[in-house]
Amino acid sequence: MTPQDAIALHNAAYESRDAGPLLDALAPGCLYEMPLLRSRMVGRREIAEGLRLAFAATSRCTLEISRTRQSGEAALAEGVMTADLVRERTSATLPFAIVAEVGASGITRISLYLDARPYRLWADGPVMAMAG
Amino acid sequence: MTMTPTQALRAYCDAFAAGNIAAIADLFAPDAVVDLPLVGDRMSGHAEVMHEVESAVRGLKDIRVEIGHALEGDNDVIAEGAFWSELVGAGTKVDGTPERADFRFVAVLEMKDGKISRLSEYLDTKPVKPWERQRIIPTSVRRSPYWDGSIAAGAVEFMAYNRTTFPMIYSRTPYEDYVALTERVTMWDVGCERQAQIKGPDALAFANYLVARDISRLAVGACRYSFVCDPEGRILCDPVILRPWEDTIWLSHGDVDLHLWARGLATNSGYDVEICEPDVAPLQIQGPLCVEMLRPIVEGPVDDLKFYRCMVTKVAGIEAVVSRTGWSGALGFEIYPTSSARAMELWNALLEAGKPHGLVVTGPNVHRAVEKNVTDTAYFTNSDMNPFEAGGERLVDLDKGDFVGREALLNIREEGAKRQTVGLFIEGDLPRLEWFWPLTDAAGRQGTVRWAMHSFALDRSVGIALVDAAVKIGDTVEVHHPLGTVKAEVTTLPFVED
Repeated sequence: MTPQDAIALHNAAYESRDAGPLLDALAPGCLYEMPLLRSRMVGRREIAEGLRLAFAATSRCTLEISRTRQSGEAALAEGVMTADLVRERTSATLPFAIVAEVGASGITRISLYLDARPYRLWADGPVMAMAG
Repeated sequence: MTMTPTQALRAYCDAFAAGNIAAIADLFAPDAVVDLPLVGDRMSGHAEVMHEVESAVRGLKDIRVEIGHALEGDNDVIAEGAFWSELVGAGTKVDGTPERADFRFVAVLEMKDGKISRLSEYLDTKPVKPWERQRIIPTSVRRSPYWDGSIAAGAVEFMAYNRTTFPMIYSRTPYEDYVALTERVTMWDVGCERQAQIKGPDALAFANYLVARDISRLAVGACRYSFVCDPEGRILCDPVILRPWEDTIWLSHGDVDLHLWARGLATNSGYDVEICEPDVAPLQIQGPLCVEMLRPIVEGPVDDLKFYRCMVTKVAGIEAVVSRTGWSGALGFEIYPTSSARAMELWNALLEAGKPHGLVVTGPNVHRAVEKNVTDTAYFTNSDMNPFEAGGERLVDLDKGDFVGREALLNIREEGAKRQTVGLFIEGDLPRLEWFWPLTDAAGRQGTVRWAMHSFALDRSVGIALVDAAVKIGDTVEVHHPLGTVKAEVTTLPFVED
C-alpha cells in the first residue's frame, strides 16, 4: 500500500461511514491525530472509537483532494471536507490538510489538519477524546 | 541561482524565525497570495502579504520553525512542520510561564519565476488561547445582544461587566489587535456599557447634582466626561454624560450599579425625574478609518460630528445615538441603538461596512488604553480614590453649587491629596495583571500598580499606579508582582501623545 492509498482509504471511510477497511490497514500502534483539535488516538481500538464519534457528528461527508504529493513512505495532501452536521442541522465546508505515513506493517500515522470549531462540532472539547 | 520550492519554504521559515522582514519580502512575487484556510484569512499582493507578515512577526518572539516531510512537485512543495513561539505583550500565566503560540502545520507553497506565488498554511492559533466556554458564566450574567456576532468573530475570553458578557480576547495575538486599532478600524461589543437614563423636566439639574463637573449648560447633542462620587468624595465611576434629547441625560458608565445609586438619590429628593437602565447596548467603532467606514451607513453627518458631540440618527436604518467618543484615546465613535431588538442586524451591517476598510472585531485594547492613559471604572474603585488623586482635578467644579461629594472634595482640595496617579516604566516582561500589585517607594511607603501592560509603541512594560503624593517623577519604586519584585521608574502620563 502506498501512502496515497492510505489517504484514499481514510477519505473513503468518512464517505461510506465504514471504518472497517481503514482499520484493517492500520499498523499496530498506528497514530491517528487531529493536531489542531488536540485529538490523538493510538491503535485500532482507540481509532475505531474516535471515528465512530466523528461519524456520529455528521450525517454525510465527502472529502475532495485538490493536490497531493508522496514519497516512499509519506504522502501529504490538501483538500476540502463537506459535511452535514447533525448538531447544527447545517452543512459545513472545512478546508483540511492530511499527512499519511506507511510502513511495512501498514499505516503508521494519519494526521488530519482540520479545524471544525467554527462549526461548534468540537467547541466543547475534542470529539475524539479517549474512549474508555 | 533560482531556489527550489523546498529551499524557498525553508528560507521563509528561517527568515520568519529570525524576524528578517527584508529577507521575507524578497521571497514573494508581486502578486503573491498567502492564505490560512483554517482561519479564513487571505492576503493578496506583496504589500498586503508583507503587512500581515510584519504584524505576525512583531507579535511573537523566540520563534522556532522545523520542517519535517517536504514533498516537492515541479513548482510546488507540501510540507509538514512545527512552530514554537512566545506571544509578545500577552503577559505570562500565573506560574510565570509565557503565553505561547505553538502548533503544528502543513504548508503548501507554489513558485513562479523564482518567487513564492502562493503560500497556504494549514494552522491556527486557537489552541494557545483559552478554549471556548472555559470561563464559566453564571446565568445571572446576561448575554450581550451581540453575543452571536462575538462568538462568530472568535471571542475566547469574556469579563462579566455590569452583569453582562463583555468579550475581551479573540483568537489573535495582542499585537494584531493593536495594529488593527491603530492603523485600520475595529468594532467592539460593549453591550455591557450601560446607560443610567435620567429623564424629565429636571433631568439636567439632577444629573448636575450627581456628577462632579458643571454640566448645567450641557447643550442637546453635547457630551462630557466626569466623575460620580460618593458623599466622602470617593469615585464611584467615570461616566460619559450624553444629552441626546432635550429631556434626557444618559450617564454611560463602567462596571457599577449607577442607575440604582441615582434612583436612590432621586427618591424623595424633589427632582422631577424618572430613572432607569434602558435597553441600549452600544458598540464602539474605533480606529483611523472609522469615518470612512461609517459614512455610507450613518444617516447623519458623521464627518461633522466633533469630539464629545452626539447626534440622534439612523445607522443602517436603525435608530441610534452616535457619539464621537470611545476608549481608544483616538478617533472613534460609539453607537447606541435605542433598542436591542435589531442588535444583530446592526452588527452585521457594520461588519459589512467595515470590510473594505479591514475592520477587525476586537475587545477593548488595554495596551493602547494604558499608553494613552485612558482608564476605566476598575482603575478607580476598590481604592478609596478621589478625583484629585486620580489626576482628574479638571473634571471637578467645586464652585458650581451643591453636588454629591462636594463638601468632602472641598476638604481634600484644601488639605491636599495624599496620593497621586503616575506612570511607571517597569523592568522586564510582566505577568498578566489580574489584581492590583503592591509597590513600595524609596521611603518605604505603599502604593498600588493598577494597570500594567506591554506598550507596543514604546516596546517596554508600562504601568499606571497610585502612589504617595511625595513621590517625584524620576524616582525609582519597587513593584511586587506575582513573579517577584522588579524596579520601576516613575514617569508622567500619558505614555503616548497623539
